[in-house]
Amino acid sequence: MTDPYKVLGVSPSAGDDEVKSAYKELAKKYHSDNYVNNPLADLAEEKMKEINVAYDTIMNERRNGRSGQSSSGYSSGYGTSSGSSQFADIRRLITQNRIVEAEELLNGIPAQNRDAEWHFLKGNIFYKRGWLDEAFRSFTTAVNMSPNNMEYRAAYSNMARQRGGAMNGYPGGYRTSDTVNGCNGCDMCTSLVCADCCCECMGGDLIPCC
Amino acid sequence: MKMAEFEVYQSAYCGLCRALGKEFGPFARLTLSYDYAFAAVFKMALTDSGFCGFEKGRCLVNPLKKKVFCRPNADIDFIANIAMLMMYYKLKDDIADSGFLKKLKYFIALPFVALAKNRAARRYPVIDRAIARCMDRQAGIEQEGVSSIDLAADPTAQALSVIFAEFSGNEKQKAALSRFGYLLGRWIYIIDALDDLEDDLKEKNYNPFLLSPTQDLDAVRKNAEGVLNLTAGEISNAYVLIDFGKFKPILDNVIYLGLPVMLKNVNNPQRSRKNDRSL
Repeated sequence: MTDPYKVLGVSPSAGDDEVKSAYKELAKKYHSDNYVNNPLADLAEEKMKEINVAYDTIMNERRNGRSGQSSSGYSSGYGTSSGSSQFADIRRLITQNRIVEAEELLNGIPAQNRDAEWHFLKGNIFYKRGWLDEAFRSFTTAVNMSPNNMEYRAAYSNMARQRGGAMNGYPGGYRTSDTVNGCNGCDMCTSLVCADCCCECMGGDLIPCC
Repeated sequence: MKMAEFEVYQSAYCGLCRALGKEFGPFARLTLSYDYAFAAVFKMALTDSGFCGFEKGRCLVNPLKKKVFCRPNADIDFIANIAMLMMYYKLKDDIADSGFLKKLKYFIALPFVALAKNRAARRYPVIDRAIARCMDRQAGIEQEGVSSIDLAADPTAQALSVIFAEFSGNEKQKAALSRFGYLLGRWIYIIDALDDLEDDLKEKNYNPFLLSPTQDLDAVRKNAEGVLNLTAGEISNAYVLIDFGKFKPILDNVIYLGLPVMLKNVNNPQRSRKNDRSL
């Protein structure tokens, strides 16, 4: 087995707090939220498992010399809630990275049946291919057509944040545009919408009108 | 960037220069840019690399000064070969694009470059085919006058995707490298298009940004900034999944600081002259 300290990038003499914060830093990087529908989602999940095991191993060793396995750890894999989807088979193809087939099926849907989900799935196909501009446009359409859908909104606001300059793994946390040119109106709006989404996830509401 | 880190970059550059001269003749050195130094440092930083330390030596251009070189290694040779392939296709592209006199000049250079290119292509046929395909598709896209940024950037992105996937033998790492390469190629294509905006407008050259529905250049720039930021964001998602054994701080520097700063420079209309856009 690989050295758990190496996995977390800390020395064996590091204190518990140091181990914990190194673990948290990595867990934030590999978090499944950053890789929803990303073709590299498997790899990210694997890395997450690796650091979970490493963290547990270190903590258990320190707590009781050895043995036992319990523990904390960020869960990996949120799983996209598909709900009752009329495009279940297309979703499956997308998850399996079979985007050519998925796109063919999707394009076969007649124009009058192209709802918010259709645009969302189209966006996912673009996204997997790396066609980020079209992906962002499709997600925007999906959100406009169905503003209450959490899945579409998460995809949209994630990209909106990146368009504002957010990057994953920036040493010392997420890089946001304000390190370069301050917080602009666009940032504020997306942050608010983001906060609203989070509130609504937990049953509350921040912006009553949306 | 710390001084020591800059030295690694510098030594990769010098190492590449020497490898190019030795392998392909003195003219091959002319193709070198810091983009290739970045590629070389990136390749050497990967866990399964052939990096084997530094040494001091004299520079051909400036023989009075002693420079630090990367010791000749498989990674440096690999990047030198890629640089040669790129030089050949770039030259062919320039011949197609330029006037008679320049054409003549390029034609004189072509046989030498073609010779070197053939040698490199025999070693790395997959990469050679990928670049050739990229140039073909790019020509088609320019002829058609494609307005989609995604489609316009796709050939370059695909080529870099293939090149970066070849950086590692590990299947899982290949997947991360391939996506990283795709997005980096996309970023480079888009920032070049943005940088050439005014020139292309004046000379009526193809530029996907000039075909967008709005003709207001400020709006185009603003939107391009969003597209580039989004691309950089996705670059970072792939980047954190790549396993590096060393030089990570140098690469972090390029990815997290270099990319945004370059965008800021290119998008600043007051800048005096074209910055060099090397990574």
